[in-house]
Amino acid sequence: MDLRLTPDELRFRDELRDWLAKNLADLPPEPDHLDWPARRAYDTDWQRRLFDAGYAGVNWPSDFGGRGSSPTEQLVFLEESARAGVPYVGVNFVGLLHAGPTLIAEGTPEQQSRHLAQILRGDQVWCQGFSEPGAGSDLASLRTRAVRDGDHYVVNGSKLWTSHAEVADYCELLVRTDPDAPKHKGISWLILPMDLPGITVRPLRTVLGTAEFGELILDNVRVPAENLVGKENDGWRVTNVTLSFERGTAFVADVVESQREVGELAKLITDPVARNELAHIAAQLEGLWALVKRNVSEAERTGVPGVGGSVFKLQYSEARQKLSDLGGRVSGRSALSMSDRAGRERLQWLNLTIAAGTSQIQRNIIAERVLGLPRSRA
Amino acid sequence: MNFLPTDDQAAVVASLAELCERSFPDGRLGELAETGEGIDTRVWRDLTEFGTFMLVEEGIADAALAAEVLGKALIPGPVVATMLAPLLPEGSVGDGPIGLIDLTDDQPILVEHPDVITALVMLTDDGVSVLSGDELRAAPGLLQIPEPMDPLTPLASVPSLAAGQHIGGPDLATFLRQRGAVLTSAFQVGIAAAVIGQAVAYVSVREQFGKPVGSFQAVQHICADMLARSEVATAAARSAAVILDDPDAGDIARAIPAAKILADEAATLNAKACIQVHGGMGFTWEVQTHYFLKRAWVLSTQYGTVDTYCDALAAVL
Repeated sequence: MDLRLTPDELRFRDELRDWLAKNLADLPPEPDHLDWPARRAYDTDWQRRLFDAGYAGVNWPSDFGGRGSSPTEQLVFLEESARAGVPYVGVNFVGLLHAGPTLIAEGTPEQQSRHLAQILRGDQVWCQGFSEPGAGSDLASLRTRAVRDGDHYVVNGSKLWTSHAEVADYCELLVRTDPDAPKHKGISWLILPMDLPGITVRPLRTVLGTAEFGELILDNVRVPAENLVGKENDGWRVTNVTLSFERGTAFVADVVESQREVGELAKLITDPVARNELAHIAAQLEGLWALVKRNVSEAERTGVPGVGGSVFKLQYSEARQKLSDLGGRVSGRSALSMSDRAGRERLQWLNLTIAAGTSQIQRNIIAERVLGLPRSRA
Repeated sequence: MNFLPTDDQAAVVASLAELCERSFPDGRLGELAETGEGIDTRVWRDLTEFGTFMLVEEGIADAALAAEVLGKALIPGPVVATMLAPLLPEGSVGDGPIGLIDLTDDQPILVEHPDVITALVMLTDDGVSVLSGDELRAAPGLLQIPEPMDPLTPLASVPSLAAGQHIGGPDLATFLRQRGAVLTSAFQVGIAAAVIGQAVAYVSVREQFGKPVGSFQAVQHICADMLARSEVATAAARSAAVILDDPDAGDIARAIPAAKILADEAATLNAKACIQVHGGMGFTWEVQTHYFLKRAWVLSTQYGTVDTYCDALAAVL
């Protein structure tokens, strides 16, 4: 049991630090939050720089253009990048963390050559079409319908929470191909080019007042059948294979950022009760950071992450919300303005206990899949 | 980096767990509690022969992994203080169970296991000193507490203790307090994990409304939170242990407070949650979870509390 980086890992870290120091110096100014095309340009420009330096897809296998790094090196990469303050993965999120890994695991050689290198270079932006107005926590009940018609699927339905839909080139789309099968057995995974006729993107205004997400309306969209990933009706399994790809490192940058905020708040807080609360949150983040390392070591030994994912998400989201609540209280009436960071974040992080599986769903997963308790629902 | 137990460490953990199961079987807790003795001579002897109380010589990480196992089995006796004994200057204490008390806080002096300890290590503002067991038991005004909250942690109160033999300065006191805090955290996360097993076993078979109560989400979510607390606290306790052995691997000023805060809370909150999911049975003496909660409360007062560590952590943020 050790926490020491090996000589190879240290060399990787030191080279990365040098590269980050050089490349962050001439970064263009961050674009306006609401200017989507500018945000795409900014995020993909950074992705291109990573690609040119060999840091794109650090954890992707080298056969698919990645660096093929170990989980520990991936952790070092994420930690060092976050400490240096690199641009957020932004519009590249779905491509790099979800669609790309899915295509690596389940795509045909043609699908892989059409998308993977492009995602790594920042030339292709993806969005996610999973949730629907009627399918949230119970995602497998989704109703967007795809009917085979010759060489095409004809798709009708609507999707919700498709972040970056306005600027995406492709969408990873879950559709129902067999309405008569049990709900998990009639779903397929399609590559949806976003320039097809019949696609409407409607912005979805969040509690922040801005349109972070979109609603996707699909009206007789004809998707080529060759865009099916995996087998027809096997989409639920295809979706779940990538969940193991993140290998327990999904929130590394977020923990680093939270720790920075703890440090900043510590300078502002004098009230002993509030300081005690801050120390509690800091202890939680220390524990979560140790848990990340354990999960990474487990992934290194076994190739798959342990049970850490749901536990981590549950505890991290609650710690971050407590931190932003405390930040809001420290800001006091200043937090009543949306230009106050604490005021904004208090709203922003409401999403953490909801997105990507609510805290209640995480608890269901822990209770039934990890602890093995009797099932509570059909 | 490999933050998993090595094969050797895993082997020690496995044989120690087997020893506890064999030598301190289910039901022994209850029997022992009736005697009021607070130490089981057989398991203590077996643990000593196994080398448990010498493990710190291999490193705090090795000792901490062992302390988790002892916590899971709720081994009675002054486990952590005795594990620390090899770190004292040679000849300071003899064999047998060793007690330790921190006299730097303003708490009443309550000595644990007063009848059986062969020496009492005292942390004071001047450093560290030692009383022999016999000197302790001859202390004027020493009174057995007739009904200790934890039936497996006998207590004696004493108005004051003699100065004893001085064996080290404040640096040694800090050194022991840090290691004691981490081993106590490890014991606490053992408790936190043990009561998850008790809760899951019970709610999986106890039926109400025609179904196992463990199929109700209200109950499931309590159990899920137990696991989440225990996993985070275990990672924190192990991390602090590794950093004590290898100070370059992290920041000890953050790691120890985090470990003790999370471990004390995981142990006490999980034990309470376990009692809760047992319903009325949980409030009975018969269900053993109360022993775990009581020990967790005892350990929460040792080597620094949640409140003192919150202060300490806030000071370095």
